[in-house]
Amino acid sequence: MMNRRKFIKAAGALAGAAAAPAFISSAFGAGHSKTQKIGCLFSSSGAMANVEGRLNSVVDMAVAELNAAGGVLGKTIETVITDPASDWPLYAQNGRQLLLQEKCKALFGCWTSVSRKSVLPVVEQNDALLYYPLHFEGEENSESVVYMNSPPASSVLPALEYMMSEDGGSASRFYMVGSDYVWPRTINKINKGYFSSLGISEESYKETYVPFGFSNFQTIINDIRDFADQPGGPPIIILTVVGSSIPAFFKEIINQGILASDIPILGLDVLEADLEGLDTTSLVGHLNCWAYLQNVESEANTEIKSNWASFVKSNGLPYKSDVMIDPMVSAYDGVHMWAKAVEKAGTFEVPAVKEAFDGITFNCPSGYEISLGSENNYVARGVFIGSVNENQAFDILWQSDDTPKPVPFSPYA
Amino acid sequence: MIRGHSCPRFFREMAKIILSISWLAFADNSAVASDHFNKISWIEFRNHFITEICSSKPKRMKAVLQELGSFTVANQDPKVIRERTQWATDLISGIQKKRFRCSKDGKTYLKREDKFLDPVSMAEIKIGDAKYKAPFLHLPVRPTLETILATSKLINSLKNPGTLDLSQLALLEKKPDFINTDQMAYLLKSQLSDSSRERLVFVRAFKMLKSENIDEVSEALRNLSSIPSRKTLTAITKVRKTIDPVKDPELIEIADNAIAEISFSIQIGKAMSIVYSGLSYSSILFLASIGLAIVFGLMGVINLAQGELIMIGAYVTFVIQECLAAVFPSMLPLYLLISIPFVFLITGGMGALIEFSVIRHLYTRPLMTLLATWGVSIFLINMIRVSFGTQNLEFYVPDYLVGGLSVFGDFLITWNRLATIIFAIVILIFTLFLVKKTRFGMNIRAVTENRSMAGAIGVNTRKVDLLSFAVGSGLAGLAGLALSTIYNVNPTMGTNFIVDAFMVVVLGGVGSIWGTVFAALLVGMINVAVEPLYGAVAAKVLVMILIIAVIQVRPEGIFMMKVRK
Repeated sequence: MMNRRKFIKAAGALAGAAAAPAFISSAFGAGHSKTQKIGCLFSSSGAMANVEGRLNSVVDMAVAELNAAGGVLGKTIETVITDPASDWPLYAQNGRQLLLQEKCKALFGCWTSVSRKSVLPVVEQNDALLYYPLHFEGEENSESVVYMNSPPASSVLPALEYMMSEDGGSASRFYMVGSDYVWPRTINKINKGYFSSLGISEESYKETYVPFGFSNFQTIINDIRDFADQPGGPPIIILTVVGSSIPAFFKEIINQGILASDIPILGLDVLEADLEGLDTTSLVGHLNCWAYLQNVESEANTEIKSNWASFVKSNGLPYKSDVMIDPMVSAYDGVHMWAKAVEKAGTFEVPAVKEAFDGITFNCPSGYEISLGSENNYVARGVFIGSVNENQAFDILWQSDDTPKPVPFSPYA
Repeated sequence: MIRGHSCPRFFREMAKIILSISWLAFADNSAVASDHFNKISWIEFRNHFITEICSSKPKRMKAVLQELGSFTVANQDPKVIRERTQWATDLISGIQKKRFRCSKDGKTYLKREDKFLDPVSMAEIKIGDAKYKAPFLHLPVRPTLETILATSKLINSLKNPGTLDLSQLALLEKKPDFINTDQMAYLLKSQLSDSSRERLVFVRAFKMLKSENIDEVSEALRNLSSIPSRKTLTAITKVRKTIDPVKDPELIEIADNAIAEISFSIQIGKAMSIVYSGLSYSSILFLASIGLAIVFGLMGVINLAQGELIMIGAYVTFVIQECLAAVFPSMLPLYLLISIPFVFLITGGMGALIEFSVIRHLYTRPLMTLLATWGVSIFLINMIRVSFGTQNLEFYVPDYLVGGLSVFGDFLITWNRLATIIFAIVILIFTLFLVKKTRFGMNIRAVTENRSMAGAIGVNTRKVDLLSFAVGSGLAGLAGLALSTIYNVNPTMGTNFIVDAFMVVVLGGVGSIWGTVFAALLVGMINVAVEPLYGAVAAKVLVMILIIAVIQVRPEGIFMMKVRK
């Protein structure tokens, strides 16, 4: 029986690899001199599909905007979409194909850090560009990646600082739950370093990890209730699980009757889209922190939201037309910032485009003017702390005055 | 149980002192001193309350909410108390639901249905163009807000003597530190049933622990040890440290006894909780794999689309829920029960269609079956994705499945998990009956044990194949129905279950129902027991090692079936 099972696995992997090129599809017909291609590496199947898949369409929408305004350097831009199926090695393989076979001038892709780490050697070897739209653990500074979102020093730590303040509930004990991979582990390492720098003892925090796609949170939430009842001050949960585990976690939290007034959750990867299908009346008050929240009041935000709504309707996409999340905005910003760098460089060649990065700015839907500097490839973004409301969205609880300068390497890691 | 009739007065005095201090610290007109209840009128207080809430400052909001609690019961006239409590309930729930809003220049309104009301007089008003915003509820305000609201609702429910709104009482039990002592004193003075009074006394005991009065502390200790939980243990341990052993040796003894008693109960509660979680997880694994046990066991068909049949079952449940909501809204709470036959028939029919159109032609080529069913699974996922979208579906959760019952220590029985366990048992009985007691089941067993001999004595093996594949699919659909109350329902939900289902079936012994039950229990219990100690990842690793070890020794699984191939 074991042999049969092994065989199934091997056959599955082989078939998956063989089928991969077939998944690659061009959005438009091929043309030679008049068009230039960019590639998308976002999974529309597997554990990450629910949120990651829609980024393909966002890139499509931004490209449509560029083309409507006359293209980039007079060329029409064409999007090549792949499906890496939430399978990390497949990101590298699809990425190589996009660069070598399709001759894409830039890649937009990856959600989890493990997928980015998988593509990283491919883009570095081929001297290519990857625009990465997620906030992540930092501790990386590749010349081939444009980091569209904030490293922890300018997103996670301000949020923790708020929760430890009197207005935030004077949190003094921390239960860290994460998916088992590099992002949660590094974030929690930074958190622990931060706690010990504040003199918080080791008994005051606890960390645990679950496999990808894990959904049976009953025992862990029992353990959290146990932790919360111990003496030592108000507890909070720092949630770094990703993908389909997030709504599963919240479902069990609702089920066991835990409210934000009992144990607040700081969900570092929690988005508006994760709350779809949940009854958020019993989740009101839980927190997240991102560089964009849907409720921001700015002209650019109204515009992107209405564009997305009509894009979803006119293309019959299977997404909610009224949900706009941070990584979508970051991917959208990325396409526009790439186009600006190309225009500034006067060519599509990657080395020249990289040279042009310094000083590129974009009017982000978050209401901030975001920019690239000369020191690294991190985009300086504003920071928001959001609080879940009853309409499956987030109210803005706090936002930064300006765009803090990104610090890729944390002193606490 | 000692009835605390002498306490309210003490508490009222204490509360007045605390309140006047907070009043001095936070109110604009600091001229008001000691007993402000007599000096400012109810109408002045309401205006003050609204100003403080509109400030959105957590400290001021917390203080004024406590004041409101005390103010509602400050007057002895029951009619006045009722009127004020009603106002407090309306306004606080308005604040909570964002129906109460303030503008920058101090204007406010409370929205009820489509009408805008003046929050003080509750008269209808017209609102201008000013921009109104709901005061922001920072985290530290929420517990106070929820507790004062719950207590006010409790007082409101006193209108019918002897009855208390028990759901509100449960809220108070969770946050005893935030109760308003005046309101609590008023509640305890009222006519109550013995059990409600006991619960209220228990809630009050948390605050009484902090009292200066030795008698009160010892009374609180006695009250607290009657309902053991980690929270009471933490509170008592904290107080135990502050007691002077020379001055109050008796108190120390009471505290130590209480700690010992509670610790023991907590251990038992913990053990019960592990067993319950294990049973719950096992029942989920069992539901996910029982359909596969029949399909895989009988025909040796490796059906990779089994997970997607679970998903289809959940979507059928959703469609029926939507239909009921549109046609018979009153039947909505029963949608899970009403869905059972539909889900079974529709997913079963779908299974029959898959068997008839795909699998039937591939019986001699197992590898082809594998690839074909994988294709079917991708087709089903994308069919659902195109027609329903990728987002998680929102299911109506009937009241009888929300929340749970605290049984012992901190052991919580959650209703939806209990329902899943019961459902799994029903499915087990149904499957056993079908396979062991019916003619159809006899045919299934005959074909499993010796296909050609069964065919030779006149069993229509093709028909048996078709029907058992349909039954296996129908069972998978029912699993989807049951899991929709626990897990998220989206097009890719099935892929989470397929690996677990194969693990359970292979470990238990292909084709054996009891083997599946046993393997589900084993895998579920190991997961739950290991998880809190070494984490969920270690639990998965351990289960995998176990399965590899078992299969080395018994390649046919734990429960072997004699089969002639």
